[in-house]
Amino acid sequence: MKKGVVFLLFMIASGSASAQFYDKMFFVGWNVNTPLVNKEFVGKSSTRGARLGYREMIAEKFAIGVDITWATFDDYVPRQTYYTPTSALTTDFTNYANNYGVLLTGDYYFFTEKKVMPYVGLGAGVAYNSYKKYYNVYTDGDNSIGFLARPTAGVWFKFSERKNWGLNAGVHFDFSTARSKDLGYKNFMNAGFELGVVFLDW
Amino acid sequence: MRTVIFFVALFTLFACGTQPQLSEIVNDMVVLTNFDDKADFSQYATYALTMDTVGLISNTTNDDALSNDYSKMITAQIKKNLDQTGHTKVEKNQNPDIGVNVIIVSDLSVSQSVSYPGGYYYPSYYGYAGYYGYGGGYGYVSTSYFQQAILVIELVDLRGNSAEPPSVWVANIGDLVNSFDSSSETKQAIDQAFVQSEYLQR
Repeated sequence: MKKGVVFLLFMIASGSASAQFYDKMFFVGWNVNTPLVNKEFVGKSSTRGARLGYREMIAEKFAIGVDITWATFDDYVPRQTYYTPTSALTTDFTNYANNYGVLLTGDYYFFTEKKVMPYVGLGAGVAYNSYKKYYNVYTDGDNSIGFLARPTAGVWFKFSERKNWGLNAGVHFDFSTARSKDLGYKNFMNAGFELGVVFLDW
Repeated sequence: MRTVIFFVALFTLFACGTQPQLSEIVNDMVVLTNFDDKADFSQYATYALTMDTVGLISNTTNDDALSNDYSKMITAQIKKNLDQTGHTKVEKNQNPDIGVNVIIVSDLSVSQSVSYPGGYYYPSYYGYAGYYGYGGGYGYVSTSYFQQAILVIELVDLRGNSAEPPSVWVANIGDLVNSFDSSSETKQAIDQAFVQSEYLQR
């Protein structure tokens, strides 16, 4: 499946016009994330995540733009009984955290005329996190909005100077203040890596 | 532009799987029990229970009782558990200490929406092109419904001869409709309601 998607991306990229310079970039990436807080709720790493982004160069080595991010985490809590002084509940839970973000991001490229372009970036924006517990047909949870910060570091690979597309590999860290008191979230933090395709001067 | 649309579509595709499938979460029924912490359960020796028939509250039928193999199984399982906890079944006219109410509450939710997909025209064969005045597109009504039901088992204290005897223990078990093997799971859930209520043991 993943090979098929990559092949499809290559096919589209191959049809694009080539250019040796660029000042606009558009990219999409597949994100793998690991939650770092409240692992009782969701603790597993997730392969369900993505980032869609746009950048414009505003200086020789500096670009700003917008990122849209998404990550879904889930975990299963086996059936057990929970007691309060006057009640008891027996169930299993399937927990979900769906995290969405919109960020204004600035990237610094250490050099831009090479086939390999390392960069660091920092994004700040808004997080919308949806925390849900599913048990049988019932659902509890919170939807929460907060501040989101995403520092990133990575490398863009251009296969040749003539190509107007490349691949992106990077790591990121997400911190958001989208909290849920009931489900034990003062904030949400995750780390992850990204593999993607970037179009230069698209 | 086609590239952008492709990537947005790809991102949307990535964003699938943000909640579990119903079939993944209905393996076991949820069992919730509550009790009155002022009640002295050791004082209850006898109980009255109507066998084979359970009460029914439903928004799809005017029937107020259910009498079939399922209701027989339910009342038999409740009797088995009350007997095992040291209680004795007596007739209603033999001054039982507790009465057992057994009710199924069933709810059917129905929602409808009308969709008018664009760019899809009547074939001329029908001769009514554009008849509805919204560009000739087909309109269709989609109906979605969801049914769920819970089993409520209630023990009421009959010793005070009150017109409205107080409830001292309630079990809510669900969902009866969407669980895979409703009969077998209901049995297990009734047992679990008593297992997690050790104070019922005499």
